[in-house]
Amino acid sequence: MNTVGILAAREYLTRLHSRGFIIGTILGVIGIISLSFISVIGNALGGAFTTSIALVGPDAAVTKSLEKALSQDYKIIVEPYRSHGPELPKALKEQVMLKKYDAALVAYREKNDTLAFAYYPVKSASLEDQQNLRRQLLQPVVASDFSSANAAFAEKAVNFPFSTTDLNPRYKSAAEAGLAQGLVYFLLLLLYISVIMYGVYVAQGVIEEKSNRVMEIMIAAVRPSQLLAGKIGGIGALALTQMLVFAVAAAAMLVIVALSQASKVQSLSTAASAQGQQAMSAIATVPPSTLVYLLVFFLLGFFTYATMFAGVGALASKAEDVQQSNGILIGPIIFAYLLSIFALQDPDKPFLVWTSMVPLISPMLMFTRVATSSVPFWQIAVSIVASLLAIWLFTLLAAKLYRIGVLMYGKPLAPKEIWRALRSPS
Amino acid sequence: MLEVNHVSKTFGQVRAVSDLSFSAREGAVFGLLGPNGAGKTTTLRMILDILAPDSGEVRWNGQRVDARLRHSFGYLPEERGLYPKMKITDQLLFFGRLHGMDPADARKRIAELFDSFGLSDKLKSTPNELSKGNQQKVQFIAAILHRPPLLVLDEPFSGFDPINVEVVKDTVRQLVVEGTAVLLSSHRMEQVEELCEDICIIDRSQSVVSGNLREIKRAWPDRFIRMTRLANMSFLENFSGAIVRPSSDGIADVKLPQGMNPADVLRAAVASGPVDHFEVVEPSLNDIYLHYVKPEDSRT
Repeated sequence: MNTVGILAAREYLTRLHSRGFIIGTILGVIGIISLSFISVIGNALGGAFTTSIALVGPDAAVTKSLEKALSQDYKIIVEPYRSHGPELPKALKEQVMLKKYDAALVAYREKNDTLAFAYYPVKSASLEDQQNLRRQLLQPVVASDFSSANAAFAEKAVNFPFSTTDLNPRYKSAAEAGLAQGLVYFLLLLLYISVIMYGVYVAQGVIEEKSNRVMEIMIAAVRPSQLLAGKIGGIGALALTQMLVFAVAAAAMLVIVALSQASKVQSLSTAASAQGQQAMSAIATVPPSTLVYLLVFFLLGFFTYATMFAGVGALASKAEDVQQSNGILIGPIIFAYLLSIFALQDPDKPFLVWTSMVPLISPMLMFTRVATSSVPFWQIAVSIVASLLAIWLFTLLAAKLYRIGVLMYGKPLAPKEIWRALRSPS
Repeated sequence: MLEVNHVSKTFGQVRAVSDLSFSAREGAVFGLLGPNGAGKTTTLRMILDILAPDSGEVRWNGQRVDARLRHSFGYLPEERGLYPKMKITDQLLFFGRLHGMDPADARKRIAELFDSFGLSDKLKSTPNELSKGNQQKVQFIAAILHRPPLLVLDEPFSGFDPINVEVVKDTVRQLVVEGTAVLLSSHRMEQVEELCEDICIIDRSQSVVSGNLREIKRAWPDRFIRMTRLANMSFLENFSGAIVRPSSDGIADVKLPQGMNPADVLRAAVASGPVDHFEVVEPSLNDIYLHYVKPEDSRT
């Protein structure tokens, strides 16, 4: 193994076994699992809380049409009674009072033949259903008020044609767009946290080696540029490992949730599970290219900031100093993050289009734009090339700072000395 | 052979090393001596190519020292340090591999060295679990693990108790027998005197004396006498320039100025009291050091 490889391997393995990394990774996986279960739990709870309604109708035809209209949202149990008014049959009332059903609905004909309803909720939650019931009942009421010959016409009048065509090419429905946006936000947050966390890891790693004086032995054995490359490479590999663990966890949860949904659909075709199915397919429609871009922009962001963090770490001699300078570097990351949040809403605003090609900002902002809109390829290319140039420049500068900084203990360097070091030939 | 040719280094307004030259042979110990701040550590760092000299050059066996060459050197810095939470064997393996060792060879050598340093029961410890003396030993092992042809030791005895100082000295002697060139810096004269064949004393960034220690002593103009301390040493007043320093166990060390005959002193001493012991000795390294290195407050 070459020198940089040996350095990177030590950095990687030491941190891989560190308590902080293990706990952070476990917390992340727990976060992913609980996020996946939110939809499952929501669906399960939705299924459990479907209001069960005992239905009593004036005749078989009306009862049947009512059952059909309501069973979308409710569990309807048709009772063998015939209604002659709003009164609840006594036997049924007893059953409702015993909470065998959440509510009872009596449909009856008034004297002028108009269809009327009496709703008897017993659970407080089912009281809230009355608005929705009214809406759902509109169609069978209108239909029943027409003679049977005109029933078809009435049905047509209520169920007038209404279709939705989304012009956004990425999403099939508004729900899907919302869901995907949420997911992009989640990935953006992951990107933001990772870039800061691993950047700070680099700065801390440098300062640790200085403060425990290992640096002096290292610098006698290897070049400062090799030290720099080993540190950034090792910590970068660590970051990718964590991302891989998260990705595997997310994929596993996706499969588990999808399987549980599929079995649910087979056993019981409820509205809730149908919605769940839709949510799952929305997650699955996040294109693989988004995940590839996540990886690309994470690497660009990590290397851009890690080189800067390394340079800053080399100039500091105490952990307190490095915290101050970390603050300066975290500034642009927060700025990029805030711009990206704007971009979630309106990814193609001219201001955001231009700033998304600026290094330091582009890793987060361009990722958000790519994930939420159709960004012309040239813009993506410009942003990647600009970031690569910035990384090249920062690496050169960091190597110079490293060379003067690693053996410097005690008093911090004057800006003049730093400037001289940066201008000196490599 | 390590050759340091006219190296100079300036930090801002401060001249750390000016026009320093010396050479260190394989199979011998070279001592770089001087007070704190004289430029010893800066010189060692230039030899190891950690710092670039402003002028002059450092050569090893005729070749200019660069990153590839110094890769094979061993270095014990004055600022000792280890990764506090990493197992010492893992660290040593890591350092060995950085110096190009094969992992299997490194493991074998670590076991051997741990054995000779009495650390065999500490293989699984981290530096945090070790005493300070044992940490120093691990650091010393890190410097010699990869069998360097040139071993650079910056204040190697600081932090060691007398027993471990002997362990380090024995190891250095063994390495010298095996042909290693050892360069050490120190201000502990008694230890350097035992080990070093060649020395260079630097003061205020400049070399004040340099060469073979034996020859420097032999050519030394002053004479030194170790004699019984008499109740009345006033007979020395007749010898102008003679300085007496009371030593331990009734012995007095007397420094005679150049050209004075020790036999005259002996005669005068016998006349003033019973003299059981009278010996003409070479100057100690400490005497030479004190002769060249001026006290702090006499500096401009």
